[in-house]
Amino acid sequence: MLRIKKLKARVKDGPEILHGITLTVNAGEIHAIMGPNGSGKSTLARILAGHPDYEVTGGDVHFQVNGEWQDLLGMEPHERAKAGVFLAFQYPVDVAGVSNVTFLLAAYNAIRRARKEPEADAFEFRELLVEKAALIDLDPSYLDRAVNLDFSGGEKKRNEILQMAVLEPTLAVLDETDSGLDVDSLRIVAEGVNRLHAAHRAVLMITHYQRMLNYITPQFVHIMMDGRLVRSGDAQLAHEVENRGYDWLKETA
Amino acid sequence: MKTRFVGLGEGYAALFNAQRGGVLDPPWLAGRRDDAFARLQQSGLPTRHVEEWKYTDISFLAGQTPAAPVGDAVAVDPARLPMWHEDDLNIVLVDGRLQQELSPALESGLLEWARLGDLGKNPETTPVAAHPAALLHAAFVHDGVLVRIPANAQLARRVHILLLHASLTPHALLAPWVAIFAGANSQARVVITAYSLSDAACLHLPRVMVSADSESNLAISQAQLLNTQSWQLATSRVELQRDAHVAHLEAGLGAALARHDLTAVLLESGARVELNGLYALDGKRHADFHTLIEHRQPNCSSRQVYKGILAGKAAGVFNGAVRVFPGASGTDGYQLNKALLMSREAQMFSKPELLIDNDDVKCSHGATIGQINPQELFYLQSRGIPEAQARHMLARGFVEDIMFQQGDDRLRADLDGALDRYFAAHE
Ligand SMILES: Nc1ncnc2c1ncn2[C@@H]1O[C@H](COP(=O)(O)OP(=O)(O)OP(=O)(O)O)[C@@H](O)[C@H]1O
Ligand SMILES: [Mg+2]
Repeated sequence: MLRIKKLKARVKDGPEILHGITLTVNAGEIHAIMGPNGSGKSTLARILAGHPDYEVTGGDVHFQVNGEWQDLLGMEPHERAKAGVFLAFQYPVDVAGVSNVTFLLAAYNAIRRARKEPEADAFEFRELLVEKAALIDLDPSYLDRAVNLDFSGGEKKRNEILQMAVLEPTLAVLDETDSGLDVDSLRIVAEGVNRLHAAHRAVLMITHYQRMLNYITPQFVHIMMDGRLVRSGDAQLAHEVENRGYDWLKETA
Repeated sequence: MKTRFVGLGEGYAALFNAQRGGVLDPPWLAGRRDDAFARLQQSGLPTRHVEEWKYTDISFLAGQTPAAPVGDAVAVDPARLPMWHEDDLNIVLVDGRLQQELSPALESGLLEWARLGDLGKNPETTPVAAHPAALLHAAFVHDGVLVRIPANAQLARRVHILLLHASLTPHALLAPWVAIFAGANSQARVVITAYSLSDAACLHLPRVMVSADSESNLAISQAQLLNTQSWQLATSRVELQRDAHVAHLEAGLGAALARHDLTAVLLESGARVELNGLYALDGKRHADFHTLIEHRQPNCSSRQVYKGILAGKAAGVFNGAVRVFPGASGTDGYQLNKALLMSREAQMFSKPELLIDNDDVKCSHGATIGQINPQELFYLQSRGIPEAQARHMLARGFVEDIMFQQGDDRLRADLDGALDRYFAAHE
């Protein structure tokens, strides 16, 4: 479903951060990426979503939409979302003056339009939203608040999962969605991800902690160091990193 | 030498003389009219070399030939207007003239009212200011309505005064006058909407006078929705007595050039006034908001927040003056002006003026000029919202708090409709 080949990228007018990433994610799979701070994990995630701060200098990324491979890097950010890519931000952005429900209705209908499905009216959409919010234990009052504004760290992360649940992407890229969550929130967020996960969907989760992987079991774990994937393995690799840190992997890089 | 004023073209005198002969003015009004026109002819219109008009050029108006709004006009069916609500207390003026048959509110028994020409004396307490808009209005005023909200009345229904521009005559000069007198301890919500049905350019010169008696509580909203060819020079004066509260909101969404001089005078202690504004400009449109708040007595408060969205090559001006008189201790004044520039070429000129003659005051002001935050934009886009729509949502969000200021859902929906049309024009 996602094929990243020798991807090189830099911050616009800045140094190269990704030095050649190759990664294939198939439908139904869950992948985890771990790695030290500053190694380029979020950069990879943002590039997949089309963040304008970065410039791809080499390689390519293809994404399968209804069985057809498409050039992901050639698409606008909103087109990627419509194609089925969803990025749960490491640092969700707050948006003053735009309520969660207004924001999500616009997003939902944009995606419905693209899928040639009928648009929802504000009334039915609210019902859907209240239902989804209950699943992640988010009080309905948050729906009328400005997007992420004055939300706690954990609430912002849950709000990302709410958006994912509403938009039903085929590829969910979760950038440290588990960071800063208390145990209950962690379970709720993990359940949200598991609920979405299905044979025709895939998850790419970036994390620092093995504990998230107790709830969501990845088939593949990759270690990113200094802009490269230096090691791939199964869930066991996450345990190893938890015990030994990253230093022992440096030599292999 | 720099030319500071330009003389009025002959068209003004011709129109003045034609109108004067035909209008049945009471003596006080005729005298006021003559006096204003004489002063205007002497002063002419300011150029940008006059400090007060540094950013707004109206001198070109001097060379135009203003017309009386006679001849062809768009048929007026108020019920078909987007902002018409049947159960408001509606009062309609068309091309500056009160239309009694379109104004059922006048028969409702809930309001006391009078026509300008029927008043035995001048309801304005101050002489006509040496200001081109005030002088033009006083010289050319056609008609107007005075509405009195009886003391202790609590009006459950909104009063909606529509100033409609229907004339198809180019450069029609329209000078309506609206006075709202709120009796002691009364409570009301008044909306004044200027709206073009016609596509012709008009010169709109409205004057709004508000007097809030002690302990009254008024929400006054002025929405300017003229067509984008027209010019508006508006003056408003709000006077507050002891413990009165006025929440004023203005929305400037139309006109090619709009200037509004809004003065609020806190005449007695305990009075509170809020002036909020929102505007949206594009193309080469220009809007200039001059506010003046006079704190004359102790323990009054004023709060003003103006926010504007500027696209294309539009220019906005905000000049907010707060004047605290020597005796006005315990004054609390707050002013904030924010502009969102949607393009590189849009411009904003912002100038606060604090004139404080007392030590025991709390006055603060701030101004910011910003652009759409790219991180917010990307966040919205990453959820499937196309860039143009995302920008509009963020711009709409920028004025969101102003939209809620009056607690008037109807007004908010109407302004949202106007903002939607504004945004749709850029898609
Ligand atoms: N927009 C940007 N502007 C400047 N530098 C950037 C930008 N984005 C990333 N970088 C730099 O690129 C490197 C990789 O950053 P990135 O955020 O991808 O790391 P990460 O692996 O996600 O780290 P963490 O685990 O701390 O979240 C860092 O050195 C960072 O400072
Ligand atoms: Mg990161």
